[in-house]
Amino acid sequence: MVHLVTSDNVEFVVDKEVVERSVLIKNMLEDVGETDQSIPLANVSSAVLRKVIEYCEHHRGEPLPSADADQNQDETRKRTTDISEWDQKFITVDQEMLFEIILAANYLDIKSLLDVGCKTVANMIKGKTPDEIRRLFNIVNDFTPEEEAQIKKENEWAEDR
Amino acid sequence: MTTTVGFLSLPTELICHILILLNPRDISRCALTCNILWLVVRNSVYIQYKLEIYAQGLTSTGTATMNSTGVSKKTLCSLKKLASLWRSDFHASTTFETVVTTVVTWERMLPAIQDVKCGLWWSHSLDEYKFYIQGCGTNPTLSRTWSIGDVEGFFTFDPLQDLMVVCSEPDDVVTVTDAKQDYHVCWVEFRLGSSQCPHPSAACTSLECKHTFDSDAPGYYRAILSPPVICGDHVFIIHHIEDTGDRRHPKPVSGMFIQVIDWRKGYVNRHFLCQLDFCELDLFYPVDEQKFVIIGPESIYLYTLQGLDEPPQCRIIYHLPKILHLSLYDSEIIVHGHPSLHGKAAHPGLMPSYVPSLESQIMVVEFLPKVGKAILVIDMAIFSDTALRSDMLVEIPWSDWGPQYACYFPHHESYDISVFGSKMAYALPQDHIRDPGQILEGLSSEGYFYVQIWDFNKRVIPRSESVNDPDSPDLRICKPGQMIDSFGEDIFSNRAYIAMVCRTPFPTAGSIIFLEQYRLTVTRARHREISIQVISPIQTDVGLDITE
Repeated sequence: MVHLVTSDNVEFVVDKEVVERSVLIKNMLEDVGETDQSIPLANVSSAVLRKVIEYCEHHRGEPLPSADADQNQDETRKRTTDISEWDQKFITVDQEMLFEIILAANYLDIKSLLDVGCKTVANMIKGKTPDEIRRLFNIVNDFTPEEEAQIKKENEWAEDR
Repeated sequence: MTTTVGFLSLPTELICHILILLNPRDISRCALTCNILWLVVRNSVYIQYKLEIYAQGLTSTGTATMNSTGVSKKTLCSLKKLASLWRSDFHASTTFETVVTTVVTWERMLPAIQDVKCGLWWSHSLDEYKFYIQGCGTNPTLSRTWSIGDVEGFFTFDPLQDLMVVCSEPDDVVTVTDAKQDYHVCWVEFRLGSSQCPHPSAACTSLECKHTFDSDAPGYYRAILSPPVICGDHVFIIHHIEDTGDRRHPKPVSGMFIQVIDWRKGYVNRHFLCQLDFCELDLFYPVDEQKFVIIGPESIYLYTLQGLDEPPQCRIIYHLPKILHLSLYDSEIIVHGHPSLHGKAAHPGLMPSYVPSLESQIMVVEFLPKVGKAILVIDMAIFSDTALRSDMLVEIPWSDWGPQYACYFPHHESYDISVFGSKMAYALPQDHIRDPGQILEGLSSEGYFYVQIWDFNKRVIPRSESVNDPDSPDLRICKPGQMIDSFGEDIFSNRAYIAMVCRTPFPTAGSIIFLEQYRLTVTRARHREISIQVISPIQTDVGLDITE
């Protein structure tokens, strides 16, 4: 069992097999060997870690993507809407949690979870106008009218096909 | 947690990771939302690469993901280098020079067929039945010079696939007795350009092209062929039939036909192409393996190939302005372009620094009537797949496509043209940009010419005009402007292009220019030799530095 301590000082005790889906922790455990000391995760809150562990529990035992398997990953990444049913349900959270999960997955180096998160955001953006995207993510339009016209012109080519 | 996390608070690399999953249209819409996303899109080499290959028509839907791991560092390096290469005014720096000795003496005429691709110059000299290939790079494995003798017919060569197609000359007279039967037209052979051995990727060494004469009357006929055109897996040969019953006055009959060959599968089929009485065989131009255009009187016809067994279908007719109608009947028309090299067929190993991104963006059609010579620069984006969604034949008047997709320039036949990707090299008598519509004098054969590089890339142009871009203050944006022809019809084009001028003059006599991604080759035929000079622009310090 591995002890993890979150940024808000909550301790989690997790199966080694589960937690090793995180490449960061896997490497850490390989470096320090067997230890009872808890691992501090200063960038992850308990609410987020709970979700991340839920994900890792579900995908326990699945083969980890190896570094040289880029070819196959490319294939699966191509289909952006391709998220499994369980993952889909799992990732149906509010925006803040979604981005927290993405950040945590990036920090903990859990590639499959990072992909699920990124694909979800990509699917949210798909087919929306710039205005709709701004509303979606609370983005303030900080272009001057001249700049905006210029950038519009620059991107015309993408629209007229 | 006290601070809320939003999309924009993600680190740049994660925003990139998400944006790269989107198609180019969605990416460009994100870029329009705010400065942060605009800069992310602008500064990510991977995203720019994805947009570029889409803009160049290399991915039709743009949904194919260019994963951050999918683009090789080498490719990106080359792209960066290319982006900063042809800029504003430059001087020529000779990187390679050689002389090929020929049997024929070149006085007025030039070798009929010459081309440069992937750093290989090749020529098929009709006068001496010889075929030359000359490596013009620093890579010694590509360098070879040889000639072959005593082969009649047509040759064509695709350096990227090391494929040489030899098409035998058809028989002078075919005696037709049975209209339903197949008659021999020609043999087509597939060889390795480097060794003349049968090409290992070809399903067979040679194929026979046949034709069924459907004329009612038996008689004497002859097939007139165009030189074969290679486009990836396909080889196209256009032909028509002449009735040689009256030997002195052969009459063309029954329209144009196309032999569609898949040389890797060893398959050939012939189809009726069009009823039109084109006498020019070289007005055929492949867009890619599935599409080709034919420049006909008054219009450009876009055809698609559904499969090898299906006859090609005419899908879109683009009408030409009236001033160009006249010239078609009594004048020469030359199509310049660079048939796409992409696809599984390409053999990039032959060309170490080849970057498959800057292909087939424009085609240039040269109209050479007695009066009013002109060139039309056409954006190939108009032939993209989305334009082909409709099942019906669509006719588009000039006013609906010309101003947006084409540029019209007065021209003189002595100005040589070479096209690569979105760029066109133009041999002009002056080293400054002419005014819109200004008609220039021809090049004198004793004088000098300057090469101008005109870039019609739709993505680069607005960028260089951008006030936000400090990198490119020196690119010269030009517009062809407005011209009224004698029919009162506007040949209006507001489409901008970038003009770059090479300040180094070249002697005119016997010279031909060839543009490639990062070099320009000038050949010069004189007496019994052809000199080949490869030049690169001398790089300026101002480079478009795309940092990740």
